[in-house]
Amino acid sequence: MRIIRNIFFVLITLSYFLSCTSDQCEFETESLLRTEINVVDTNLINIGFLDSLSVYSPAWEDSIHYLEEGTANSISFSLSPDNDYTTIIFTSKNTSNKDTITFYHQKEIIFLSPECGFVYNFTINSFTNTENLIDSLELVNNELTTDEKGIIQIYF
Amino acid sequence: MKKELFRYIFSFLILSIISINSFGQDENIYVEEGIKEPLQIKGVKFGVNAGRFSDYLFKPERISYEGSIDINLCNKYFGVIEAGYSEISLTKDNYSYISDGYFIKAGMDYNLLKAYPTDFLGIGFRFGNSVFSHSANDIIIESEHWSTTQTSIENTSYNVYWFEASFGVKGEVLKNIYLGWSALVKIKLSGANDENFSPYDIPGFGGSSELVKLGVTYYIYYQIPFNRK
Repeated sequence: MRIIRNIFFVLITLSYFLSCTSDQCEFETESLLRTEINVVDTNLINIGFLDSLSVYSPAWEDSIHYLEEGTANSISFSLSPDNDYTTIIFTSKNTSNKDTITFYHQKEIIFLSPECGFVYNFTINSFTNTENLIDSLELVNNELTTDEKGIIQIYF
Repeated sequence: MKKELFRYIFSFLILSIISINSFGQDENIYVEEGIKEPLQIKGVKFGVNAGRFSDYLFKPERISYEGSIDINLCNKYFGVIEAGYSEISLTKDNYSYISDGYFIKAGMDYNLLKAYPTDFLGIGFRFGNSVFSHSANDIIIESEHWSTTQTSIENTSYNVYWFEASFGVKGEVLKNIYLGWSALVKIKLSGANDENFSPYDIPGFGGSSELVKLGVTYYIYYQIPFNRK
């Protein structure tokens, strides 16, 4: 009888603790490229280029505006999971010029966790760009994972 | 992880209660200390891992079975073979996962008890091998700006080896019926090192993300006695 009572007590205690466990995903689930923007051209500084900067892709339905989503001179976005290249356009409402960067990449699918499911990691192999506003750019980290962002530095 | 920890604690508590109560039930079968017997088979135990049935409560996505045969040599050495089957079917909003496979473990137990020869309190080791495969379907990956993609991962097979050390207790609760638990340390030696698609569960070993796993098993045995005084 005492054994049954003890087992019952353990079960009740256990069910209390189990009810506190979470099945929610607690990890970052998108592998992002952080674009670090350095505006050195005085003309662009004078027209408030960075604050009016927008980034978009022809395949997107929306844009990323620096003032809304940018932090510390950087904007982050993910690469295309459908193709092995991604075209990103940099523009500003204060200038009619714009620049296009095309990243060529490969992706691999990763099982992040049972709670989160699967994600894509990317490796950028190369890129091309126009130079209407861009002075130079450097790919600092070409590996995009959910743990660590890829990094590209762009000088305007 | 937290769920698994409580599962171990739960298993440990229940088996401690049952096993401790079972010790010393049959005082007539104790033998005198110090008498050396030649190695002879004292019995063969057939066991079922009762802990696997707790999957219905704690891991409903897994169906698994495990049984064992141990050959009792003079109540001191036990040759042990354990084998089982495990199947995972996990369905989430953004993927479904299927896995199934078998495992076999072989090794020895050594009884540290001298005064209670039909019971067991001792240590053991096993070498384990698991052959299994897994796949994932209906994988949905969402992105803030890109369209949602759907994909699948084909069936992949693995062959995993591990070493296991155990400390455990078996008590004869009724004539030739034993209950027992073991605390286990499992060390993965090779196999299933796929970093991209890490198996959810390796049959007989557990989750694949760690090289060292802790575990508890609890068994119910029936012994066919031989040469029993």
